[in-house]
Amino acid sequence: MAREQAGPNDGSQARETQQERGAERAQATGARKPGFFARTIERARSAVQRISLPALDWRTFAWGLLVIIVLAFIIRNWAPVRISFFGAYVDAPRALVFAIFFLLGVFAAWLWEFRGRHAVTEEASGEESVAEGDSSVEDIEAEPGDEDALTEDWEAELDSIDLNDESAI
Amino acid sequence: MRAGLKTTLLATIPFMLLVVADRIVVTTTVYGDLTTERQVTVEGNSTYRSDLQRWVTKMTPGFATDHVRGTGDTVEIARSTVRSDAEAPEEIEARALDIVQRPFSLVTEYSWREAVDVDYVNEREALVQPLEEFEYRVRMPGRITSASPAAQIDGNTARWTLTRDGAPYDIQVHARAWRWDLIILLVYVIGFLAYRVIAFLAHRARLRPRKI
Repeated sequence: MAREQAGPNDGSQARETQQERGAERAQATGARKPGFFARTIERARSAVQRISLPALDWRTFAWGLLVIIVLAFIIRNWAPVRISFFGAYVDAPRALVFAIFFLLGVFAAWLWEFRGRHAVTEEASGEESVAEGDSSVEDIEAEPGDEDALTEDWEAELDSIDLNDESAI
Repeated sequence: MRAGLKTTLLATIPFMLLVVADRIVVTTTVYGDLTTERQVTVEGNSTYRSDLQRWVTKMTPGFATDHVRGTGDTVEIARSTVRSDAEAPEEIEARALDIVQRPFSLVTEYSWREAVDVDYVNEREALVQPLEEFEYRVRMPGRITSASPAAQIDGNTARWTLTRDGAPYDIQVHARAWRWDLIILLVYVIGFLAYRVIAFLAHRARLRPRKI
């Protein structure tokens, strides 16, 4: 009765709906990979979106002020200074010479620190090897009673093994 | 440390150098902190190479030789030195009215004054030798506002073509330069303070209850 009341075209309507859905699905994005430029643009866009500007607080202001002062110092000390060495010479901006000597000082301090750490590491490894040597000497110098105890343990274990028992294998 | 060898910025041109050389250019570059770089470039016939070297060395004691280039019949010799303000001789007046001297100005003023002369061995030379000229240039750290005697001014460079007859010359140059570092610093500080004030006022305005 429900079918009689529904009408004569229900089956065709259902088919049409299904066909429409299929067409809609066919219009969905294909399996084609984006090209080189599209990928590059997408990467650039995601990188730009990840950028977050610093908050405009007093800390940011202090950092900006420091940068400006350093730049002003560099610009005001851009006059050349002549560095001569055994008759050869080079004219370089004073600020650049400051920076080079500063970096040389950092490098020297790093070398000194590295040398100190290396010496400490060598000392520590040397002490460990000496300690291991002592312990091995102690093993060698173990009392005869200990060796007998070890032998007895092994023998007991060997006796407990039943060679005819295939499940043990 | 070299004892007994004093580097001087005095521009006294040996007369023999004027005779032997085809072209003499003295370039003085003044930096913001009054560090001065002077370069003397001499061109002449390669036949007189040793004379040129001797006289340009005599003119520039303590300088270092930049290059000696020979192209065909011509040889070019360049010598230069860099001096800081503390070592400037008395005959040179270099001044800078910077932040310390004028703290409320956005412009730094520079002045340069130097005596340029030709050195004769004896008076007979001065009478016999033909007219010779040489080029003298000054490059200042800012735009040149005036130069004396009258010079060819191009931005921050002034150029004179001087003759031996007019020596000695009293060269004076005045220049001005914007204190860009100070300007940027002021804009930054004032801009940030203005931003904070506006943000504070906006915040207060948002908190104020609105009339319904």
